[in-house]
Amino acid sequence: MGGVGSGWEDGGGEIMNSGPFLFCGILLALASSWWGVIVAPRLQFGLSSTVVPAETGQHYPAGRPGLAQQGAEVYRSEGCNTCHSQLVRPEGFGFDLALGWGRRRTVAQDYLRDNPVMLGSVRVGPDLANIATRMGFGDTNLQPVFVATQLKHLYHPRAVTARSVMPAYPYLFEKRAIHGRPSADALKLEGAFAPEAGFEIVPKPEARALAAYLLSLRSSVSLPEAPVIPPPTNQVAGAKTNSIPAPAAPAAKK
Amino acid sequence: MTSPAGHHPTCSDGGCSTVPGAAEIDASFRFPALLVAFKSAAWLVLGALLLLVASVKLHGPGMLSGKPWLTYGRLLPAGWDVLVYGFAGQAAAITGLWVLARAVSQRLQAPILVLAGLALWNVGVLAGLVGILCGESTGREWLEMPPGAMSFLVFGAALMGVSGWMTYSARTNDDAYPSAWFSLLALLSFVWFGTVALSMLGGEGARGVVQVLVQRWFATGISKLWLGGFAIAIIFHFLPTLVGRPLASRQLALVAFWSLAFFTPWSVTHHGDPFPRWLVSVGLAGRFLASIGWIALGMNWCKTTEKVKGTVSSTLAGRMIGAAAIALLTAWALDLLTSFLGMASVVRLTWTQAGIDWLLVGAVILAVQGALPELLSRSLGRPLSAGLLNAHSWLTLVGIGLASLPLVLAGLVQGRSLSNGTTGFVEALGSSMHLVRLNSLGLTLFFIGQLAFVGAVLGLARHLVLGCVTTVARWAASVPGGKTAGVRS
Ligand code: HEC
Repeated sequence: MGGVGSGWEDGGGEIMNSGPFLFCGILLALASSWWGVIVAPRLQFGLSSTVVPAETGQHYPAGRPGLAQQGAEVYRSEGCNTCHSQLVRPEGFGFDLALGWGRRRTVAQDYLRDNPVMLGSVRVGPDLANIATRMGFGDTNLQPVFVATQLKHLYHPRAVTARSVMPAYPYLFEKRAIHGRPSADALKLEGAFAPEAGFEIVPKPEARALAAYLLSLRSSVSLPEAPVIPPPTNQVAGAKTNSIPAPAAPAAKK
Repeated sequence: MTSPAGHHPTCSDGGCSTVPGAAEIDASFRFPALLVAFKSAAWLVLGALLLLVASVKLHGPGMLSGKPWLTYGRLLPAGWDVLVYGFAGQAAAITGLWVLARAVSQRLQAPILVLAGLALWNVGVLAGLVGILCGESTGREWLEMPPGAMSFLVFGAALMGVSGWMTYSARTNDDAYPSAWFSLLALLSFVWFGTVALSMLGGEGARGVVQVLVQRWFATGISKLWLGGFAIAIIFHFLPTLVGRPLASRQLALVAFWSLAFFTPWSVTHHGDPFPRWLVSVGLAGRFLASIGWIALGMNWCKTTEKVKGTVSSTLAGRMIGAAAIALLTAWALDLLTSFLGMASVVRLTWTQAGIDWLLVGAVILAVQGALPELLSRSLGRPLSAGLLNAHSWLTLVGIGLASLPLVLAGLVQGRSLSNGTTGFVEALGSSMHLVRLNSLGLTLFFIGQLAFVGAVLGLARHLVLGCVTTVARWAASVPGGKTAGVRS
């Protein structure tokens, strides 16, 4: 192998010795991708606004109510998105719809008002794009049940799902001595998870906000670009989501 | 030049200012290298520890749950960012500048800029770490550090970049060796991706999923062109020196350079993402076109080491550099493979993604840790403890292997059992957890290995302090001491 006098066997590319050429070339390379995958999409759909689907007749996506918006900040700050995605993949691709994670795929329109948009990249836990709808939010009477289950789950996931590997968030709750009657919003905990007698576990505002945020997570209104897919006849939508015992009450009421 | 280590027989020791010899170039890195050695080693151990604790917490969710800053969702990004920006990026930047200087046969220009850049960089990483642990994460992967902290990094990188371009412009040889191009690409990348991401995500510049595009574009650029670019530069520098023969092809290096620079950052979308179809196709096309670059790299490296691969793996640096090259190419191949329709539907959004990220960053760590001891011993004129480095290299190799590959498999197991439609999510997760345990084992080995590395660096520090003391003593006895840089090239 020769290469005498040079660091390689073939020549060529002398132009790479020109600083201005190299600088401009690199800049052009990097800028082209910026234009292609950011600027152009931004022009196409990044400037779009809310739509009014026929199904509801209301603007979609609606802004989050104040408490839920605070909850989004807690979600971000605790890094829930390191384990949970908020993205339902299309029919025939992946298992998302089969697991009952949504009534349709999610599309750009669904995320219009989120900031930050927390799509997630690794699903250590189930997808949460529709956690409110799939846990029986359909009936507004069930909202308190939903919130209570979420709070208990956040306090200690294993109080709800026996083999959960989701971290517990006890610091979003407060342990208080019971004076007189127990608080109305104290968690209903049993067995090993219950505090010692005379004490109760009450959610802090952060936990309450987080539950409100979870309640606001639903991307299931029918859109022209993503119509709702009729549920398969052999299963109740959401029933097979996973082994997470959906709150006992809604399941029973169904 | 015959090799990146370039001999300049006309330039005798110290007597030549226009064409510096290898020893002189190395000596010009003395202070930046020393600074990086200590700072990055500290970040390395801290980052590895944070990630280890995070991974162990996956197996005992009630563990250490009382403190907000110890929760998994904060530890993981904090550990990752400390490892990526605090250690890998910082160490890659200094070794990248070094191979750049060698490739253009010039001393590091304006080292003060590098020192200032490093200072800003370390302040930024510290602020970012504190921010994330206190719950100020931005919620955007690879960009979790609060924007204030991130802008320190961008400024720091810009200062180092200026020094890099000045060094390149002061080239003293006829042809810049390819490692110079890749270092320059990497230096420019951080500034470009960082500036655009910060400015677009800061205000109303990006609404809805455009934010995701910006974040993924940043993450792709940072992982593959910034970290990857430095790693490629290091590999280009070392392979020919290790086998004692020139690089097989400059043409292939050119092809690799331009196809990676142009196409890599396009590959930001996957099948099933909530973007219009054309954008998903663009992302896939970008991945395919960038493959030309990876294939060209692989061919070039294989040809350069043809029939002498044993020589590469017989030395300490060679083992690390060789493994880095293999890990880098494997990470690329897995990334491409998992983007195909059939595979993507199974493994996307599973552990596999985390495994590939680990492999990529692991490759960079291997390259950097192969190069850093060389840089330190050459610029400071003292070898590091071979025993510790040897232990470190094996622990790191096995550690990174176990931290990454089982996760790739775990994703496959999880995805397959979910795809068959009968398994619930928690069962599917459970069936992959034994592989995730291997990841924790890998991180443990990795962590122990890093302690050995830090031991070697500290050993060097002890020698330096002792050396200083003797020099001062000799000077006090009014014997003019020789230069400390008794460097062999
Ligand atoms: C270590 C990864 C991890 C983190 C971090 C995490 N989760 Fe989970 N999450 C899981 C796993 C695993 C499950 C499934 C088992 C279970 O239900 O506990 C789950 C389940 C859930 C469920 C029930 C989903 C369903 O389909 O029934 C909700 C709601 C939830 N998590 C919300 C959160 C919120 C809010 C946070 C942040 C405060 C969070 N998770 C952080 C792993 C995680």
